[in-house]
Amino acid sequence: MKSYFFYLFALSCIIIACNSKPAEQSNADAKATPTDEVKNENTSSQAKEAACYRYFGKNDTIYLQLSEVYGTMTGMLLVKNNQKDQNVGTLQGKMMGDVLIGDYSFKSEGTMSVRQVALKKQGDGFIEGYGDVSEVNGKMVFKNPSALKFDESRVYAKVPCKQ
Amino acid sequence: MNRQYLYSLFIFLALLSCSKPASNLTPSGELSDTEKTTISEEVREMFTNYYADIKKNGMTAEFNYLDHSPSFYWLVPGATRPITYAEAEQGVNQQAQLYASIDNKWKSLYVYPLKSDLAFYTGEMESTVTDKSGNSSTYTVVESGIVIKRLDGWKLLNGQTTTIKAEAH
Repeated sequence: MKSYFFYLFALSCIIIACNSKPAEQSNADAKATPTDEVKNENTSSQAKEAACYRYFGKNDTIYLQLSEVYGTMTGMLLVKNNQKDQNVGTLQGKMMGDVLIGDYSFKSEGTMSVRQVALKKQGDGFIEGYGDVSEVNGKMVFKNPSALKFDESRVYAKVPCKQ
Repeated sequence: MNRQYLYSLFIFLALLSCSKPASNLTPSGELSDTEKTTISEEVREMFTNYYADIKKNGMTAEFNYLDHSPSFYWLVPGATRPITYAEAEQGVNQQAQLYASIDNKWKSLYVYPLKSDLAFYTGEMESTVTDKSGNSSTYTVVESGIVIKRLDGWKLLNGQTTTIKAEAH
C-alpha cells in the first residue's frame, strides 16, 4: 500500500513536471518574443528567409533574428537582462568575411543608443565580439575592429524561428 | 531503503527528462496562426495606406503613422544616434517644404508578429522623391522596424533605415 502511494506520488510529480513551463519560458512568454514570420507576397524580393539565434546566459538572454536584404544583414535583437528591462532593437550591418559588423539601435532605461556589434560566424551560430569602444558622435564604435576578441562561451545558437 | 533510493532516482531522472531544454525558451505560442496572419495583413495595410497618404497628401501625412510617444526613435540614414519623435517631426516638416512628392514602394517586405500589438518588419524599399523643381531621385533603402498597435491603428515605433543605392533621374 505504501509503495502504491509512492508510485502515485511519483506519477503525479512527473505529470506536473511534464505539463509545466520552465520559469524562464513563462517570463519570456509574457514579453515580446518572436513567433514566426508571415511571408511577403510581394514581387522581386531580395530578402532571404530569416534565421534565428539564441543565447542563454546566467544573467541575460538574447534572441537575434536576421535576414539578408539587398546584401545588408538586417534584423531584430532582443535582450533580456535580469537586472534591467527587456529591450528590443533593430540591427543592420554587413558581413565582413565571417564577421557581421552592424549597428544595434535600441532604447534601454529610457536612453536611446546605437552601438556597434560584432558577431562572428561559428558553425551554425554566432559568437559575440568584444573590444575597446569609443563614442563617435553619440555612437559607440569599436576602436579597432580587427583586434576584437570573441567570447566562445557566448554562443548564439541557431534555433528555428518557428516554434 | 534501496528501493526508496531507486524510487527517488527514478523520480529525479523522470523530472530531468521532462524539463524543457534551455534552447526552448523563446516563444511563445501566444499567437495563433490566424492572429499572425491578421497582424501581418494589418501591418501591410498600414504601409499601403501610409505610402498612399504621403503620395497624395505630402510628407506631413507621415505623422499619422509614427508613434507619437516618448518610446519613438529612429536611426535615419547617415545618423550616428537615433532621433526622437520631435526631431523626426522637425525633419519631416523641413523636407515637406523641399519635396513635391514622394512615392514609396516595398520591393520586399517581411512581417514578423511578436505580440498582438507588436510586430517586427524588415525589407527593401524604393523611394522616389521629386523636389519642387521637378528633379527626382530614387533611393533604395533597407528598413527594419518595430510597429505598435494603438487605438487608431499600427504605428512605427522604432527602427532604422539604411540607404543602399541612390539614383538621380
